[in-house]
Amino acid sequence: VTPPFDPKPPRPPRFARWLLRLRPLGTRRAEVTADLDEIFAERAAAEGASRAARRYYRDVLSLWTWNLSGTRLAGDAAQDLAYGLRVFRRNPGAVAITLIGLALAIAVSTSVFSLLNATLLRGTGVSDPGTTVRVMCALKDGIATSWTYANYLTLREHARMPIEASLGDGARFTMSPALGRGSLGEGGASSDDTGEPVRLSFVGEGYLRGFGARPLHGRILQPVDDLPGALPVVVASYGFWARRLAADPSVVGRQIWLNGIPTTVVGVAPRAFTGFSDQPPAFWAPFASYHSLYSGSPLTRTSQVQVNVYGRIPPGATRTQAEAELGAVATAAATPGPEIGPISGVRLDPAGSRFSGSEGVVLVLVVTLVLTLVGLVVLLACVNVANLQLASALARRREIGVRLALGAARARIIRQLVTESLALGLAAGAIALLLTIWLGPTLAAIVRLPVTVDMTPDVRVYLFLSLVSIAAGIGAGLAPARHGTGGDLLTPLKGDGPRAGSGRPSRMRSTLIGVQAAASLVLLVLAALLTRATIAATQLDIGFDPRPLVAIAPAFGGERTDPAKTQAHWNLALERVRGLPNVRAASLTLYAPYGGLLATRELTRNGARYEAYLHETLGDYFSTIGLRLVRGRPYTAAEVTARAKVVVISETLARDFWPGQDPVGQSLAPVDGSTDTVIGVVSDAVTARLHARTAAALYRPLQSPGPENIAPSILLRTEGPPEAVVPALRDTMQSLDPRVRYDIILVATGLQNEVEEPRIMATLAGALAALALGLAIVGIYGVTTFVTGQRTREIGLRIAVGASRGDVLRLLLRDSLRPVAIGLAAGVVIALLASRLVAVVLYGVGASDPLAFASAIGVLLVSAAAAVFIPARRAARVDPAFVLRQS
Amino acid sequence: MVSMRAMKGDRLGEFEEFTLLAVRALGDHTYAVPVQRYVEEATARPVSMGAIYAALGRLEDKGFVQSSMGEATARRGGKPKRLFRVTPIGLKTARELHRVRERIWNAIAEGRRS
Repeated sequence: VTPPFDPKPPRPPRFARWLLRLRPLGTRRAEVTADLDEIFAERAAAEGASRAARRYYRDVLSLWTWNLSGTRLAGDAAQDLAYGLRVFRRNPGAVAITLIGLALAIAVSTSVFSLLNATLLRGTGVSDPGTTVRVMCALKDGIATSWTYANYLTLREHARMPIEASLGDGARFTMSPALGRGSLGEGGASSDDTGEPVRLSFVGEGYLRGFGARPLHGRILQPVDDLPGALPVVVASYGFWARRLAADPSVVGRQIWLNGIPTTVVGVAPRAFTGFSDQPPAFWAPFASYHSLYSGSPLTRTSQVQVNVYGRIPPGATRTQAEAELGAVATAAATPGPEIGPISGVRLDPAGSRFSGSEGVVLVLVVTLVLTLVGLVVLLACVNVANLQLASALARRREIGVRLALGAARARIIRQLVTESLALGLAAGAIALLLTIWLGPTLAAIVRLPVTVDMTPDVRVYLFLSLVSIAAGIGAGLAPARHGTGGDLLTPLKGDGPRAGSGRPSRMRSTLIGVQAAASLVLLVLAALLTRATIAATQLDIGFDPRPLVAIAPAFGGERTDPAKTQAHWNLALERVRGLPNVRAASLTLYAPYGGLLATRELTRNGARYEAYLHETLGDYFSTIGLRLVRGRPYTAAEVTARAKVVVISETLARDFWPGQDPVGQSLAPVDGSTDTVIGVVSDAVTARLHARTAAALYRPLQSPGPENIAPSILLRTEGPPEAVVPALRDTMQSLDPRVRYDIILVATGLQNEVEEPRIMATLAGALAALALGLAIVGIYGVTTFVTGQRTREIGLRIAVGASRGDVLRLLLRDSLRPVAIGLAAGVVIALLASRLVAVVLYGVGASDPLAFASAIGVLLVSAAAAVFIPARRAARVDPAFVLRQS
Repeated sequence: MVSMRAMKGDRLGEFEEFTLLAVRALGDHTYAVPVQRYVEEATARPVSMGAIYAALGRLEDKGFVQSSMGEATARRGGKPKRLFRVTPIGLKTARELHRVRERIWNAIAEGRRS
């Protein structure tokens, strides 16, 4: 094929030509360039311009790996490196500090990244994630819920698409420590109290298979496991198997004790498969094991247990089509549960990735924020390397000038400087790798990562580490390298190197200092805000004293087949607990304070939505938790039994709805239609979600079983330390029904856990901020030392002509602090924006809290001033006679 | 360059051998571009210019080829080219290598027959 006539022949790619120009070729440049041009033209004509361009790139790159005289170019690199090491040895202190800073920054960022990687980025491990959806039950007004077990079975039978379900991702079980060896046959003798809490997920037998989990060892669940009467079996998740079962393949086939029930481990799931919950459970068990392992009664079509339903869009169908098709099945065959109204169809939410759906947006935000913070720290460390290199490039102007004058190519010098900083970057990376081995698990412990999360670094983590190290090295080396080799050949040779350039710090150095100040200010502000929030959270007035309160909650939000029996059970339990010594009061509530569960009720106020917490309690709940009755009366036992339409409201709610009026006797109409009469007002209390600090609440008589079959909890007030009562409580509950498991929670502990979130973030942000501040101080100190050193002559002259040392010091301080001040101003603006992002966890502190900002600015200013003052004072002490003699 | 020769001896690597033979096959007044094309076609695998330059450089160090600057031609826009020619020593070494190989192959063939 003759190529079409082209008046302008194609030229080799510009970047490749630039790369070629950078390659030192000496006298052979003309012939090599001509060779490559010729071969490019030939290939372009014969094989097309793009293929020719690719080959041209390859040829240019091959010139970088091969030397024309036949030896590997690596020889040059080794030479550069040896030379660089000699330079480093001349200035070991600065190099060591830079190296440590860079290594810390890389280690911290890698650890944080591996945490993100393990929890968020690794994905669900579900095969073909694009077609995987969570099936939601759509009701009127766009509300969507999970399904009852019965409806799941119905969907599964009638739907064309594969349907699977899981239940109880949050269920806590106890696994007794004795695993297999020796303890077999000793039966339920092992006490659950000594067992380790594990999370277990009940799933349909096809769940693991359907979503692509191939067994790593043993087998996954099979249809036979889910038959009624099948012996309880479980499949272990990889993380749990690796961390708690010692990654021992012989676990397969062994028995473990779950809630005192011998259970066979039939297999281990693959490493990538985590299922759909945030954290993989320790085990997956078939639905058939539900009754033997947990509830005592089997799952049937009459069970009102809610399950999470997942499906797969069939090939060729769109999501909308699948939604319509499955929606038709649901409206025709599924039966609405109590209190939820008619089913209007299904909603299919993407479930294959953690970043799909509405929660995904938040996750993306979190990941972006964390990576930005980490990026800032790395940037700071890079700036330090750049500063070091810049200083040394300037100090070496003379040496570089000599080399240039002797005929060294500029490219060769740049390569020398980049090799040096790359060596710094890689050395720091190697140290960071060692640090990460220690830091990763520490970080996981600080943020209380569950054992099932697999923290072992994978390829992605190593890739991240290498990329950060290389980028830090090259990035930090390139700018000074260009800077250092600029200018003419003669000036540095004349011998007045130190005088070269103006007295003020150069623009590049000022910018670097400004960036450091800004970045460390942002981190300092965030740390200060989060610290303030942590302190504020512990001092927050929640409206009651949590210390004497204890809650007894059923360990599983399970089903009860007979409401009357359940009610009798709880009434009996309540009676027994009240009779215990040191128990002053006890009551029932659906949602124990800081127990993890809560309900809200939507109201309308002046046409706008108004959200209030809903509590369902007995009448003596108020005296038990310690709320003051402001007006009216609590509900009576008779009203509870009769399920009377009465309600007690909190002061905040009363003030918002009936300002200046008596709310007692008014009627409250929630959005869902039922109207209640207000009979009393109690003092405000914050019983959940500390960060929202919502005290608007309404209290209704407890109806058992409650909505969605939540079993009530016993809340009790103790006399003396609550811990002392716990053993008696355990015995009492055990004697009532040994099959049922309870969590006994100190309310103060629950509150403590609630405060944990900002505490963890404060710890992390504080650590990052300390690191950032350290790096900034080192950077500012280093640059000031260098700049004042450069200005020694000028200072000497100024003093000689009559300037006082104070004048000189002021001048130096002003010049050195100016970039810091500019960076501070920029940092305040960025911090104001960044603090909005963490506002969710700032309890009792405004996002632009002046105290946090002021203290951060103060700390930075004082540190910067100290970092500037020491070298400036040293410089101002110079002896003018000595300096003048020097020149 | 004496030290270089002492170090590498006068042996031929595989790729050097191909390059040497290509120079010879191309008529002893050739330059890097045709050599690259020849070696690439003969070995049926992509060969970079860097590798060719390196091989030619080593061959010249060992005294197996000689180079000289050729006259500028209009085709290359007046740019110079470096012309290569195989030296008698180079030719002799390549022949010897060929002979050694032949002897071994013959031995193999006889071994199979018996």
